[in-house]
Amino acid sequence: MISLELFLDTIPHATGKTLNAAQLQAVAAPAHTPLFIVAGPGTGKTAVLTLRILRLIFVDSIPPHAILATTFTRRAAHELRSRLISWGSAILRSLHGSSHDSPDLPAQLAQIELSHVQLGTLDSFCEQFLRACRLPGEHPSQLADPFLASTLLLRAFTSGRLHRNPLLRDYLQSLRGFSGSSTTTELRDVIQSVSDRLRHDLVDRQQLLSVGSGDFDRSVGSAGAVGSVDLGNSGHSAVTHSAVPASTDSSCASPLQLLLRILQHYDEALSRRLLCDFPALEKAVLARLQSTAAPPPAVPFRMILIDEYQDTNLLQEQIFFQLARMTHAVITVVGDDDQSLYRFRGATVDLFKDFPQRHFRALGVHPARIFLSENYRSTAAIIQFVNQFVSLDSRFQPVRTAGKPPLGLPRRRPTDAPVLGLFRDTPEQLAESLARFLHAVIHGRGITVHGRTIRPGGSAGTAAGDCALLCSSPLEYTRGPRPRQRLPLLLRMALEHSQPGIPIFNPRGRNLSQVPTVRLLGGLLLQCLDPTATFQQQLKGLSPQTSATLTLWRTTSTTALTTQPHLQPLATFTDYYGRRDPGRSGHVWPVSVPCIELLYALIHWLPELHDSPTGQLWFEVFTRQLHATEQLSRFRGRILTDPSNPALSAKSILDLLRHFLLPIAEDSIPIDESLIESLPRDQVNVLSIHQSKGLEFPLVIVDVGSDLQHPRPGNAFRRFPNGPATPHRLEDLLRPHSPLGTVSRNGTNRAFDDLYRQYFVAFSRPRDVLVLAGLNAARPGGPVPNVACGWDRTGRCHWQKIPWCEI
Amino acid sequence: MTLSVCSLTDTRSTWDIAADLLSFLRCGLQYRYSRPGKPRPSHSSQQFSGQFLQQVLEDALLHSHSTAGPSFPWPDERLCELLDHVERRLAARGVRCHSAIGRHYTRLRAAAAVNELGPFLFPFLCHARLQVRSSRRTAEPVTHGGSDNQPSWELTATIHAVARLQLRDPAVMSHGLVKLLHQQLPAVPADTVEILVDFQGNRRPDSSSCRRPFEDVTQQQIQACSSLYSPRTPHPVIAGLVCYLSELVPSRRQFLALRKALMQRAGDPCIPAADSQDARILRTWKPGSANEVPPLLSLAFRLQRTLSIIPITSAGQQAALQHFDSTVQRIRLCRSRELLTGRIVSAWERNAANAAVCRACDARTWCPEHTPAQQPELPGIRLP
Repeated sequence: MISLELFLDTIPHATGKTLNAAQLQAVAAPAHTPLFIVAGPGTGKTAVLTLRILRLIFVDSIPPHAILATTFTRRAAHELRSRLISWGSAILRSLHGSSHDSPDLPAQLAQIELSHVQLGTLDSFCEQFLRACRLPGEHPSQLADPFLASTLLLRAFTSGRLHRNPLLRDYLQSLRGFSGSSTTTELRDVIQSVSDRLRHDLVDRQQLLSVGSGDFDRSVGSAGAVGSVDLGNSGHSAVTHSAVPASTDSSCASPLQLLLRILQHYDEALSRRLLCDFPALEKAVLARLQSTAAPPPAVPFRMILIDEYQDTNLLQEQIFFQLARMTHAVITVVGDDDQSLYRFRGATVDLFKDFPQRHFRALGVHPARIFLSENYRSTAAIIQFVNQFVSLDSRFQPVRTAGKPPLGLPRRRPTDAPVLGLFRDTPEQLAESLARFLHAVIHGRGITVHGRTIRPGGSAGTAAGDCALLCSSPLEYTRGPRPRQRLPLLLRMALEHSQPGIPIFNPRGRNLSQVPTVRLLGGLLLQCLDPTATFQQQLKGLSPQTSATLTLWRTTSTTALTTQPHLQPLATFTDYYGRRDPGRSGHVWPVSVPCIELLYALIHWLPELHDSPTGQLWFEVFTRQLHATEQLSRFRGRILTDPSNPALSAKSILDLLRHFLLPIAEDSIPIDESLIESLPRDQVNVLSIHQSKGLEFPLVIVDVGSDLQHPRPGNAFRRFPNGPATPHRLEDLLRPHSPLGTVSRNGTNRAFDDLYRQYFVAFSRPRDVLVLAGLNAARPGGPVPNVACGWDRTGRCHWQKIPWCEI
Repeated sequence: MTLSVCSLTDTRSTWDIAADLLSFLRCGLQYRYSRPGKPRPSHSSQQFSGQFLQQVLEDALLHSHSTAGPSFPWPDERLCELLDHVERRLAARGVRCHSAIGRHYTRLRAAAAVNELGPFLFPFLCHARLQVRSSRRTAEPVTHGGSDNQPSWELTATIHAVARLQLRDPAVMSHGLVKLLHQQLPAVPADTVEILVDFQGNRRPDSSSCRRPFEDVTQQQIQACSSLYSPRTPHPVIAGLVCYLSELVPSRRQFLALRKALMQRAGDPCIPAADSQDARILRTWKPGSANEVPPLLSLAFRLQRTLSIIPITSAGQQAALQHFDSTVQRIRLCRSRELLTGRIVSAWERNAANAAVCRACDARTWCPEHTPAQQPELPGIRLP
């Protein structure tokens, strides 16, 4: 359509973007050349992807609908689409306005519809694909809410009392790899990981069963029988996985066989409800693409571009390769092995590192390799620190993409802040110091370190939302029977007490059940559903902690209703509701009432839940859980009040307590982070390092050891692994039976590799200021070996000279 | 050094005409609470009805285009199987009808849509459920209260079905749909043309005063969709056909409203002639129990009320797109206000003009616009 030269000339004034040499190479590479783009953090990856797509459209005349671009998250898809339409429109305008030789060009440009590029997550593509190619009578499954899926898996685990089977528990415990005993929920999570990885890695289940589980099975004595278990007879034909021999008698099954049986029951439970999980969705697409009996309709792609390829799994790779085989589409992948964080969700970083060879084997062409290394995000001091960190462990270097250059240093400015270190003796002291530091930057005059002053950014000071604390886990309390307070909680309390107070946004780390508004709503629901706690007392297996939470909820609502006069109408409402009294003459209480109506009625009196964006996040947990209850309970989330059948009425309330309120009280329902469209500007963000992927902040504090007082085995996986963690153990178990083959690198080394990648991502998030925060015991030279503070896996600390300024 | 500041750029670049813009135009605050991904509403009956009918028709069309598909009328057993499957599919997504009578009517309407509207429409349909998109831009960058918004975005829409026909082909001249188009379009082209079909679960808007704005919005939706779809087809898109499926099996309330209209508005083409059999039925029916389904009026009359033709014009398309462009800006302004103030109710536009919209809204008890102010009611059934 237009020449490459004209396209490249148009970019700077249409988009304001000037390409560096590597970016230019990626954009200018011929359309028929597959590309392997290794893009470090902040190196303009989205810009390159956008311009590459626009080049394909404007220079190579590839119709936009023939371009498929996938991203890892919906947020990334939004960003790419926004950039594509914005820059593409600007280029179109610029070309329309310029003089050119071709008289046909205006008409050709008028035909371009940028929004026809097929852009989204792979899962959204899969959903659309299955919908588009379904046959008459086919009813594609819907994606299950993750909590509902995990509840169904827990049911499959506990049915027939399998969760009490000691050998199965030992087996799962050995896969989990942590010392000490695990709860049933924690073991359920292990089963979930096995389920996902079996499909992600395309594991041959028959082979897995016939060969056994090798060392794992032997180590837990799988050869013997495992007691008497009754799995029942499902009697359903729509079984997704049928690798478990039907004749296997439960009483003499090995733990691995039992595990696969649990997964079979789980799949049946989903399919009965016309539901599926993400791996099942992707597997259905691959099967459809490979089907010879019912081939899919022609897919029109000529170009496939895949972002964040380092977190791809084998199943996804096969989908992309199969699409390319069918359409002769050219593949471009973009990613960075150093930023691969999702092994625990089934990602296989080797698929990225080995992409050139794998692409050649699958499609017969060698992709061109391009490194983007010029960083546009951070200061020179931060980049220098990041480069130093990622190269300190010599045994990490062989698993990085060969030939990768260090991140290019931007020009050093005399006013740039150095990397800062804030280490104290106790978590409380650390939180107090961090709060003072943040207060000075957000509300004060800034802070001076080594003669350089860090000043607030906006006219009214730095917005709290421009600051972030990144941690391995944002949880406010440690797990276990005696929970301890962690840095996110201590910092929240310290900031709340400062004058003026600074709020913290930590939706994933806060115990939802303890949020004051949630306690109040929970208590009100209990008062309406079960005012005398009659049914609560009938619930079996309630942990003391959950009982205490329910009591706290009731106390919270009772106190609010008796001490706040403006809540008097609410007190009357709950009182009448609890008695099932319609409160007006000539009316009777209905036999069946949807609980969702009660939920909405209650929040009328709670503006924190209906008028605040954060409150809506909490409220959404209640509505989502009620939806799950509709799927799990035969009463479909309804309150029955049938005087002629009090037993049935009682069961409906018990079901609501069990499926709706208890999971919230137990804090097993996560916030749906996809609902957070914009991080709040007036709150300091506390995020896990995984959550921070793809984000950047002016000021970032990385927690490198706020609870590393002693080198305990229990915290080794977060600082200096002493063995493989769960994902590595699963790889060792399953990979021999996958086309991926046995992993050559041992699990402990892979655990170290992942830890380096995690802190590499964390340290490369800030634009202006990076602060490392931890306990003195965890700092370089301290008694606690800690990868984030310069230790390599041989036990040597490379930072005898500390690479930051102490504050 | 001075810390940099994160911009408040709104990166959302995709706006769906039905799910975002029409929903916002009904009421901004209700849209804020109920847009996809937000907490599920308590009153999902309307949501259920619309989605159920659309999906039943989509599935039925898929069957009818396959060689093994049943002929009309579909046998009850086959129809029930389809309805059950679609209902389960919606339940899997959390879309249920909590009202037994509402569910009953929706199933009756779905059955009528397949067996009565199907023969009328299906032979001409060439596409079902088509996603269309188009990029749009403002003349100038948009700034709202400290946040910069992208000057470009895209509009998307889902077209329920597309009919392709040759209006002067003698072989189809006697077909009901062709006759209807001949009657209602100002000019009938000789070439093959396409019609956009939109299935709506609700009743036909009242042709009297207060409901007009919503009907206008439906017209704008059709005009805008035709503009988005036109580049994908070589055939001229000459009209939209809106199917108000609720009219196939009117509820008791609808029936009584029709009776009232019969008394008040003689001559309205959507009201039966005074001496017709339909008029006689309307006048004489005596409602029994609350759940009793009114008698069915003639198919010809019900189809007349069900179908509405909207001629596509270039001016209409431009006006619709401009209206939706400005709606995007209004939504962005509300989003910016919410982000800056941390409040929802005051940040979003509110519209309490339509009682039916407010009745289905969970925010009606705290919405300042909704009058009279009311508190949530305890559940109760009036004793007979």
